[in-house]
Amino acid sequence: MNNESAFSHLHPLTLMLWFSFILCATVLTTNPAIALLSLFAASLHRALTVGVKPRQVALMAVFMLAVTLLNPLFSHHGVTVLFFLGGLPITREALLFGAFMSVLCAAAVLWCSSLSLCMTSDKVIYLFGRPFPKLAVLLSLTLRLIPLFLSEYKRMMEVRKACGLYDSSSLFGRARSSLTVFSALVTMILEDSVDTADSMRSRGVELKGRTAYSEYRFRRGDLLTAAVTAAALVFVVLSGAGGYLGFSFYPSVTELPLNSAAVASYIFFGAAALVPSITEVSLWRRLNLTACASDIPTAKNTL
Amino acid sequence: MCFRYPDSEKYALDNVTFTVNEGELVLLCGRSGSGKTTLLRLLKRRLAPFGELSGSILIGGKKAEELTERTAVSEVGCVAQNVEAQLVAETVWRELAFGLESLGSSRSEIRRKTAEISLYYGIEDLYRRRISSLSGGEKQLVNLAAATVCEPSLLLLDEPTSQLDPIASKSLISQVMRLNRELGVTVVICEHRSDEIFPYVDRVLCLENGRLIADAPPKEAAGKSCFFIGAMPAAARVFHTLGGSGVCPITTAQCRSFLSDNYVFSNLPAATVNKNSPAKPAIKLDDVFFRYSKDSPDVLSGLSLSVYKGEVLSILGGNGAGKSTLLKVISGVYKPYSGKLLLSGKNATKRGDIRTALLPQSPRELFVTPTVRDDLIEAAKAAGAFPSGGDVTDEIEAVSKKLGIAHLLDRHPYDLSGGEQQKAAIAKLLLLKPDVMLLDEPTKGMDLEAKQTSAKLVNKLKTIGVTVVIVTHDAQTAALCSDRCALLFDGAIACTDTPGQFFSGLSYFTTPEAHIARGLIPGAVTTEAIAASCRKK
Amino acid sequence: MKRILFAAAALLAAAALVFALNYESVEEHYSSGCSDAQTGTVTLLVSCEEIANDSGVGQVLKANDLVPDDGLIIPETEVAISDGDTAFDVLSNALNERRIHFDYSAISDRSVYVKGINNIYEYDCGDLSGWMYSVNGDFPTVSSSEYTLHDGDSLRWLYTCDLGRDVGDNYYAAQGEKHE
Repeated sequence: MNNESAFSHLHPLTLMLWFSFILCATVLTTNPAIALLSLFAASLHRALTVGVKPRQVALMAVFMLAVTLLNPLFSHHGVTVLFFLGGLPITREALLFGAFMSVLCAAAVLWCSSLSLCMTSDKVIYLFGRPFPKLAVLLSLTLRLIPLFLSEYKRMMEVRKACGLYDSSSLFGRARSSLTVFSALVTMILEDSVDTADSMRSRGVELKGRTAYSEYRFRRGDLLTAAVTAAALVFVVLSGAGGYLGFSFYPSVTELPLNSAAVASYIFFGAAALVPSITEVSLWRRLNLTACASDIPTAKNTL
Repeated sequence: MCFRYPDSEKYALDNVTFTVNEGELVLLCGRSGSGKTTLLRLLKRRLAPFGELSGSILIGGKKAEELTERTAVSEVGCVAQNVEAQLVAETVWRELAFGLESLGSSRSEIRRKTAEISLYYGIEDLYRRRISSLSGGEKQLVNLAAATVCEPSLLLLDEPTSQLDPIASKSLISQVMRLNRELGVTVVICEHRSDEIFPYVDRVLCLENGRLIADAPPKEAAGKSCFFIGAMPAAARVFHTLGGSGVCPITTAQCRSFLSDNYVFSNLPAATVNKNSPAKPAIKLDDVFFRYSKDSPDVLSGLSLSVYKGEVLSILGGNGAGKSTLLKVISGVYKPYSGKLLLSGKNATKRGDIRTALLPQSPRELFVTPTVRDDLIEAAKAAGAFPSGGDVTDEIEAVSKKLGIAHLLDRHPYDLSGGEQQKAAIAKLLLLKPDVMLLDEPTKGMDLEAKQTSAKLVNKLKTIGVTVVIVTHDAQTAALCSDRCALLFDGAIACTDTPGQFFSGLSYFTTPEAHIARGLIPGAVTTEAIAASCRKK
Repeated sequence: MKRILFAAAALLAAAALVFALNYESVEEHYSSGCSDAQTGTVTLLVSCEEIANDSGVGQVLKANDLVPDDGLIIPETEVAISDGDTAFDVLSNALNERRIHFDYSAISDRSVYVKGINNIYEYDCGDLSGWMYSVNGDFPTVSSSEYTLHDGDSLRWLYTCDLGRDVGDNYYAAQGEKHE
């Protein structure tokens, strides 16, 4: 399973709009329907891109269970007392709120993993670099430095181990070895930065009127995604502000709002949340179709 | 043109006058410190060092300082030797676009030009890659592409291959020659290892102590005996060593005909192989398998090898053959998942009584303190054999005298030249009192003269009684200094033999001298060996 | 796999710890009254009149029928005390007897802080709201679990919406934010 997502081919601005909407809506909502929709869509997208890994599913389940069970230990709010623990009431409401929180957290974690998959550093640079080309240069330089630093660190450590200069006997020794290498590495990078500066200067970094080149185009898919996101944004924000999505766990769990504004918000939110998965699946279908189309002539030849 | 650095009495460049015609490929050579880099940097406006300049530099008929900023950027491209530090972006396409962005080019123009340059160099498949995932050769090719994307008419290259392996440097040089031949870009290239490019350049300029001592087409330049021999191709070296007269050969074919026309050959004395005293193996690898992670392929698969006490063993192999990995397995950084590693006949898990020391490809990785002396002290202390402070100093003095770095002790290790760094690194390793010294590509990017110096160093180690294992791409290095050579291929040792036998048995993966001597003098793989067996007709 | 097992083990350990913390069913909890020797009586009142009287606050609470119309969760009654009973002990005994939910947290090993009574919590009626107590009309400045009552005292637990000012305490009007 490759870790490339069809969704990540969208324009960075679209992605930023989409992710900020979904993440904010997920984290800020008190409505379980929205939280569940969000978790479902996030899991689906992860399954379609990274695949289902039993280990990760199990880890997530344990995490969710822990959040669910821990909340009632700290919050004793709620009218339905199940039992007492250490003299304090454990309530059904607190348990349900824990479950709700675990759904929110899981959804947020999954969306963040999708975010890091789709929002590559390239796109981050683009977003900041368009208004400020010099900032783009700085960001790009920094992002390059990190893997460079890490690989060089690893190499130097290996050399020291190979020469018996690495003291692994104690935590203190290890820390001191790391520190020695780290400080040498900083000097080394500073030393190299003279060459980097030369290279940048020789390619005119000091000239006025710098542009920021990018590889992105705003396509039809971007327009569509942005439209769906905007519609969902309007509905969810308006319904939320109007109190149509209101839901509370304490002191007793209220009914899920099913008025027309709320239902419309669910539908639009669900649609927006499913955009990445739909993009993914539609790409697969199109790829399959072209594969079939190219099969046709071969079939003819065999006849 | 003269140039002097502000704090120096001496002129770094003294009365240098030359003209490079449009579309010429010019090789600039000279020992390190002869002023090559200073000269190249003076040609590029933004890189010109600070100092006192007299005389004038004219580029395209205009004085260099009269060029506009913009033309200075777009008309003159530069590639320097430090591959890694020249890269400024984290992806290849951003790197390529960098110069054009500076010039304020429009989006469509940048797209066209980056596309074009990627196609030209055949790096389309690298376009989207992250810089950190590229190999050294690929990185330097990206540097070249990024320097030429603004369509410069003059390209300056300062030892562009000095950090590359031979195969990558060959492909880089061929791209440079292509630029010159196909597009008529004027190229001034500064190179230590000029074997590749020498026969094909239009002119050779040679600097010594800031003076221009040669300015001639390659054949003529090679014929001049004042010309320093390390920078010449093997053919010219053979010619000079034999004291030949007439037209100097610069290619293998020319040299072969020169030899067969003028000389008769006697067989080399058979190498005296010390087979009577099979020393104990210092290191023995028995059927070793290693891979980096569960899913990756085997890097070493069923490798068996013995290294005898006190010998110099060279292990040759191509790119990614696992040479460096092998060294790290021997030194205990990586653990094989199957097979045995015996040090002095004992299992490697207890490595108390045999010490290994590893010289990395870039010796600079070994230094961690602000002065060479501190680094040597660190090593001496780690060896733990010196209880009192005075002894440490004595030991350091002795070692640094032996290696000729006594005058460098108080310098910052990163300020040393490549050769000096190597010596200092070896000094540090020696203070660790190793039984086995592992050298990873000790002659990367060196010219023959420097290789010979390194070979002497290795011999010195041998006389001290240190067992040496060298891994290298370079056949010349192996031929110069080893007792035995081994070829690492497909994760295992393909063959092992004495250098003479080893290289004359190979037809492709061998020294340029062996190419010249093939069929004429069996077993001659160095200039000296050829010279020894030639008698004038 | 190891990590999951580890997490599961940690969870089990946590559960074991929790159950070691004295598990009681609802019935057990409310039927375990204390019957120490009585040494006197005090009058107790638990009131959230401030909410009941203000139609602008506590909608959710009112919708859940948590606020009595007269605002009295426990109307003024006489309760028996034993030696050393604190304001907190009296409150908790009275509430348990009437099976009324309440919640507190321990601030230190001696002092506790009452967060909610009858599911009416601090902050439910704005940032300045919460439970306070007064004894004989004064608002003590120590935690209720550190204030020992005497025979004949009058204890009132009052819900304030304005840091005590609305229930007659002017102490915090001049001091910083901290309500007991």
